[in-house]
Amino acid sequence: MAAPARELPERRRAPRTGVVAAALAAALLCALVASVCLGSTQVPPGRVWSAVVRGVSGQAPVPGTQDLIVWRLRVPRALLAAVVGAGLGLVGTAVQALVRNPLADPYLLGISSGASLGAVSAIVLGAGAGGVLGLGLSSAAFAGALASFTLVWAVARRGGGFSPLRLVLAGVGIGQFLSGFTHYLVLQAGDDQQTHGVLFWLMGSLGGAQWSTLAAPSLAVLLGLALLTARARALNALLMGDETAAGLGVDVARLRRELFVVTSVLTGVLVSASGAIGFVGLMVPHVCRMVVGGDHRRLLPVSALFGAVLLVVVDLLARTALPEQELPVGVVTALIGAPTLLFLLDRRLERA
Amino acid sequence: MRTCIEDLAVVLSGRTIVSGVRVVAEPGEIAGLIGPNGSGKSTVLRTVYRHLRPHAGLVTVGGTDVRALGAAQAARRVAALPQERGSDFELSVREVVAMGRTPYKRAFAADDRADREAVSAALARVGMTDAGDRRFSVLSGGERQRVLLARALAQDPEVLVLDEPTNHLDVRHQVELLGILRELGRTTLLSLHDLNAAASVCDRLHVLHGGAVVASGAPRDVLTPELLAEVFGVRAVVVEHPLTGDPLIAFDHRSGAPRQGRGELREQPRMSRTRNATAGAVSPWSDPVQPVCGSGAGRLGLIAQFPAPLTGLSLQPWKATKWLGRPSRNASLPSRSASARRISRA
Repeated sequence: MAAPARELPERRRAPRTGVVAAALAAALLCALVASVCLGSTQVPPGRVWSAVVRGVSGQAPVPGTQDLIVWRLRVPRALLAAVVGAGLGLVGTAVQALVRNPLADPYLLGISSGASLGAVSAIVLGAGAGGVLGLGLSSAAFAGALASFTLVWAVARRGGGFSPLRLVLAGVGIGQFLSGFTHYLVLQAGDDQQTHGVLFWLMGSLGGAQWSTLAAPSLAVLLGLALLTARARALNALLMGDETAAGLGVDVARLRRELFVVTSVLTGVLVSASGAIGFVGLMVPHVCRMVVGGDHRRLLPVSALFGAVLLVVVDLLARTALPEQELPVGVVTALIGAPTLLFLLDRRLERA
Repeated sequence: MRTCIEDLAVVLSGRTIVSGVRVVAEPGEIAGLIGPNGSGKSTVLRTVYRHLRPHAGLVTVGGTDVRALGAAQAARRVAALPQERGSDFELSVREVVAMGRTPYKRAFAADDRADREAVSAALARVGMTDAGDRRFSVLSGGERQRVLLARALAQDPEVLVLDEPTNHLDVRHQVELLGILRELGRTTLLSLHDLNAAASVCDRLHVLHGGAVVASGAPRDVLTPELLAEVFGVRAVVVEHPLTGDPLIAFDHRSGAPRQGRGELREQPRMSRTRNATAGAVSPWSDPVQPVCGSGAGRLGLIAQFPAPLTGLSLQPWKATKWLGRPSRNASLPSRSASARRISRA
């Protein structure tokens, strides 16, 4: 008699996550197509399709600008938006569990400040000068991310470490310290062109997307998803507290170390590719938790999917909202994301 | 499964928290740890569920050192209910209980039928079957604690370790929770603040005081007025419970604030080298001197700001040490104000 009542919720819950994931995957596909079709030049979906097929099969593009725009600019850009969005959603979820704080985002641990400093140094001091928004800049950003990671690690591990509070304090402190340098460098920027480039980078932009810059973030996000999902149960346990996790057979100190490394490297790679795009990593986990609950086995993949959809759409808006001008994508995420999050949380808290 | 703690010492950042602790719970027995705040109860329990590493000594479960077992292996034998109450991360009750299956699962493994059955059985055991889909964070304190107990049961352990499981619960929920523990009949190690609850629910009591076990045995033998005065610093009589026949402790709640030189309050044993050093290092007049210089002078509030020579008070260091050296009394104040806050909230 009790058996059906017990089984029912299980059955109801599992397909619900499946449905959500399928819907998000479909939405991602639509968003990608829309993102490639729309823009300063409208390309009909049929044309997009043929251009993509030619591109994938390695045939020479049809002469004319449309194929070039689709294959060289818009497809890599849309894919980069999806990859970065997925990564930010993933890292946001993991960092919130790592420091057990729903206000955490991927930039809390100071990694992005290091990346920004690296990128800005490259722009202002000239390592990436010459208008190369490619490898030079990304490498400099990643080097900066690694440097700040090392600093935060050294500070956070002291005193038997990696407690949530230590991690946050080390991350915030070192992040602010590095931001100081970054701001100083911005002031030293030689001309308006440089200042503009720096600001664009700091606010996050997907404008530098090329096929060649797509590989590293994609690989990192896939690897990160696998590594984090493998620890999904341990992440759940960590939410309840360190002692609870220890009692459940989780090596808490080791788990924190692993999470810190994975999230830091992932953040470094993402910020190197696109600059520090704000708000996605904070908002995505919250929205996903409201829909599929807090169990990381579902939350991590769903966060990745939703992050991807969100950033593709936001990038589309950033490119098309104003005529003749592209907005930094981070500006749009903040302008749209913050009110949405507040609205959702408000309703959620009222119901509770 | 017999659980045994032998000559345990725990040192945290150079401070000895407990040392020479011997605690035992025979198979199927409920063994209680009692003692004032800061006496080391939680520290001892934390070594059993491997949150803390012993500095010296051994924790064995069924004859095996828990440190020699792998983390997951140990978690299959010992389930813990620490004082943590979880946080608001949108977990459902069922998801919280399902965490108990963690030590049985490999990476990427989904819940199978056995897991679901263990979770359902655990929820049924604590009477929370219908709450499976509710959000954990909206439960009342009593419900929450029952769900956390269900999580420990879903772990299917040989030994349960509970750190003050009845804290913050009203009387009915306290009675319910302890009743469940009695019915389970599993080897249980728990710390309790409520001495009357400990007297009736535990088969064996270990009294911790200043990081050492000062008494062990059946509740009737351990809970004496002398021990209560010495360890807890309270005046009490022990009578027979009219309903159950268990020892019932009646406290004298009118004996008031601690005064110096009350006969039955003796200096506590000092465990920690560093704690002693700290106490000795504090100069007698840099600390609030209110209790020593009496209420009249203390009320002025200024005296504490000045060195003793200026105020004309000559405090001998040993007096200050004596006052600083009463962790149980000092520490009992916050807990009292906490309970007062609870009352005012209710």
